[in-house]
Amino acid sequence: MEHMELRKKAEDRFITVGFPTTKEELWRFTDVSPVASAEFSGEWKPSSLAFECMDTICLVFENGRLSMERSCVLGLPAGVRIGSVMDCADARIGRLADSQSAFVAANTAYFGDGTFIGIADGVELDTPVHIVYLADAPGMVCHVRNFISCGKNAKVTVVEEYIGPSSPVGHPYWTNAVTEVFVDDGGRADHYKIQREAPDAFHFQTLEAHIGANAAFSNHAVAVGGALGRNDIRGKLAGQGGEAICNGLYLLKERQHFDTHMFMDHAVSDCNSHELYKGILDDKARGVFCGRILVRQDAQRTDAIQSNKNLLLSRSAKVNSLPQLEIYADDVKCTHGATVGQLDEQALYYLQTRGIDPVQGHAMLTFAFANEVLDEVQCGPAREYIGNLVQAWLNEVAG
Amino acid sequence: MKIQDEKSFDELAGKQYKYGFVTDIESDSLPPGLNEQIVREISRRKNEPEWLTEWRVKAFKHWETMEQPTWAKVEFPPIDYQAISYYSAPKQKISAPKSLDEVDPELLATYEKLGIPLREQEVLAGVVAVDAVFDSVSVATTFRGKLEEMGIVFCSFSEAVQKHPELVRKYLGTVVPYKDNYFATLNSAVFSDGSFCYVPPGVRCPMELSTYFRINAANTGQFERTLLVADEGACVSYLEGCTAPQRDENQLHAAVVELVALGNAQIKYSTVQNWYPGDKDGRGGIYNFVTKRGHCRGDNSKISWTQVETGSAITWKYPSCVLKGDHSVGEFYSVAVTNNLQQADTGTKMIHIGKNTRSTIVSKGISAGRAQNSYRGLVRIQETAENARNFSQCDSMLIGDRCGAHTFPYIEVGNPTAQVEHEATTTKIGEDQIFYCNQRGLETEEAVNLIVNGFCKEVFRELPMEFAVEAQKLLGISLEGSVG
Repeated sequence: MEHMELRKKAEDRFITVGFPTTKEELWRFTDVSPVASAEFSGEWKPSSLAFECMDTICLVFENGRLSMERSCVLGLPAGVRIGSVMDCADARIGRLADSQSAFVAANTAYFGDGTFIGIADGVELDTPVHIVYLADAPGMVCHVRNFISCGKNAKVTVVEEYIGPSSPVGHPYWTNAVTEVFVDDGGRADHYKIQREAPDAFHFQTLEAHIGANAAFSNHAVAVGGALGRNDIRGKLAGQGGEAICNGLYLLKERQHFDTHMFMDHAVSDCNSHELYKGILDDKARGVFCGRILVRQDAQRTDAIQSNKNLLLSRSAKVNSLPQLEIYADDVKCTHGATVGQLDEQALYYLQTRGIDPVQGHAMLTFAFANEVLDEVQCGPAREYIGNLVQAWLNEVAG
Repeated sequence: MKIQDEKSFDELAGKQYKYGFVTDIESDSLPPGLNEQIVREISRRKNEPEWLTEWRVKAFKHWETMEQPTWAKVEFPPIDYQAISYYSAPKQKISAPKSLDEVDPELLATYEKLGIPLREQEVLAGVVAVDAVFDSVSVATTFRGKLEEMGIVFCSFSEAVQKHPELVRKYLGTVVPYKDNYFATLNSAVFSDGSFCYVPPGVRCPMELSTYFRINAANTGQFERTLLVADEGACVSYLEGCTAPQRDENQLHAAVVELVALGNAQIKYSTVQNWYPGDKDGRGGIYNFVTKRGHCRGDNSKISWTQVETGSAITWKYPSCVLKGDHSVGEFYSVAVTNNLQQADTGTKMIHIGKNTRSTIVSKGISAGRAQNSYRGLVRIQETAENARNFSQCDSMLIGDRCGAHTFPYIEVGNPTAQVEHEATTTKIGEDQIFYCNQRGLETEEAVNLIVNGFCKEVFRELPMEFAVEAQKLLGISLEGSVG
């Protein structure tokens, strides 16, 4: 490993800054003290969790360690490298995600494994790469690091999935992941993230994407698991003609707390970014969405749309939405919107007049609300997989 | 040539400031600096009752433990709070210009464009002390007599403390507590004067109350405190500010405005703020750090804020509504214009507590030159706010490619029956729009004026008539030189 210096610097930083508090603007609505005060002394063990492989390329990690027996990365086309990040010598690791927050710093300092995907220039990989992180070791910390490099005019689809047991593990574990994505000029990287950790787990992830000229990057994040979680999604449109799509869906119940912080940096002109985030909250769940679009000076002809919609199913659920625009260029098209509400009484009534009972009508409308995000999923297998997940969650909530 | 003129204006303003400190300290101003003695001395000079003195001291002690907030998107050099004199008598005539000839010609040109009569120009420029104004005095007293007949109390804050201490004590600090925020706390400790208004139950105030009429309390300077109470079923409309650029010697303005609306009461509060914005290079100008808040305490009450902010080097202001009574309504209409190096971080807070509460936010931000204009607003629906409804719309317009327009909404919803919507857009003046106006014979500057006024129409509609006319003109003046 050549990252000793990087790790040392990050460790120092982690020790000096420590965990953020709610006094910091970026962490105002998310109290991480349960993580900061918890003791993580869990022992590593192989995972007994089962999963469903989406396609033929699959990389499986058990409690943070790569398991070659359960993975399947044979017969890769030329120009495609998939393996452990520990074997990756790319000097760009840590260039995007350095030590923005204590979580990233901790990850950089202590990551033990993770995925590396390298797609050479001009190579198009049509099969989605399914990365599965299984976690069921009580009291463990998994600092996992992923590095995705999509070459010029190359194409890749990555599905990152975090799976935990459906019942609490007792002593919560903490997943602290960082994913760095480079999409070179003309490349296309589609990234999906499915988070269904154990109900008492902590899950934090920072995703950093660097998008070149005429390149496209998309991220779809679905979160249903964990007790306390946060996604930090940060994109930089660094070349003209770049395009970014960041969509997400968070389905929360009981006392779950999930926070999404999205930041899109329009550094140059003629780029597009579209964000659609939807949340359905039941019981005493709390959802936080903060989206910030920065249009830098001279980033003319930027087209940025951001939307956050929330559906509250219970009286005690709570939402904080902060859609922000920061604009320093004048020839731009920027809009953002946010809504919070419950299902439309009239739509329910209409369904009733058509002979659909209120319970079923309720379910239909709720699914329809979530479906707007699913519609945007381009990758067939991923859409089906996520669709089933959403349906299962809705059934659980209704039942 | 122009720059020189501005310099001379600056010098003039600076001079007055300086002289104010050295001369006549005994009689009408306190030495610069802030400590408990000063706070007590202010209170003593104003002959305030014991409880108010203690309240001020409590605020001051709390202020000492606080730090100046940094979250707003504005930048300014640190303020030396010990270099400010916290009490000065109404007017320092020592270095005021002797006649209009000594006043910055650009300022005069502006007055002319606004169509302000010569006498008023003199007042605004500080040539004539306000207490000597001819017609207005009688005008003011006539109105006051009429108001008194109806039971409406409308006077300066100091006068209210002397004449209606029970009312002041009952409401002071109940909307903006002395611990509220850094600048409000500072204000609580050292506030010099301001206006007080109480409208008794069931009374509809027959005229728009304005600081304009309230001659005696004018020029109270930087730490103004306004308290407005509308009792059950009362109705009042209040205008604040001045539509012409105020010649002002103070840099820091930390005012507090408290509104209380009891059951079925309605308060409409309109502001046109046009303090000195500094010159084209950002020198000078007022720091306007204001805390404004209204409480809709009773059912069916309504508070409406309308503001047109064109002046000040820095504006830091969030007129808010706490909607406590059931069916209460909060409104916020705002136009904020920044040009040259002005910075504005302004917006509102709507806190829904009662059932069926409604709020509307319409904010228009216009940014030109190298200015930064931010909307920052909070909409909070508490668990108890059944069927609450909010609609927010924030539109920004950018004129030129060196300015910034930002939107920072905070939406917190804790009740599923609530409906909250927020929309924001960013636009610029289209070249085709300008071209169309040009080919109809309008100068580019006129065209910009026309388009910008159209952009702000929704807000201007909310202003009382006479204000709306001046606000439109003002907009044109503020944006002068931003195109072409």
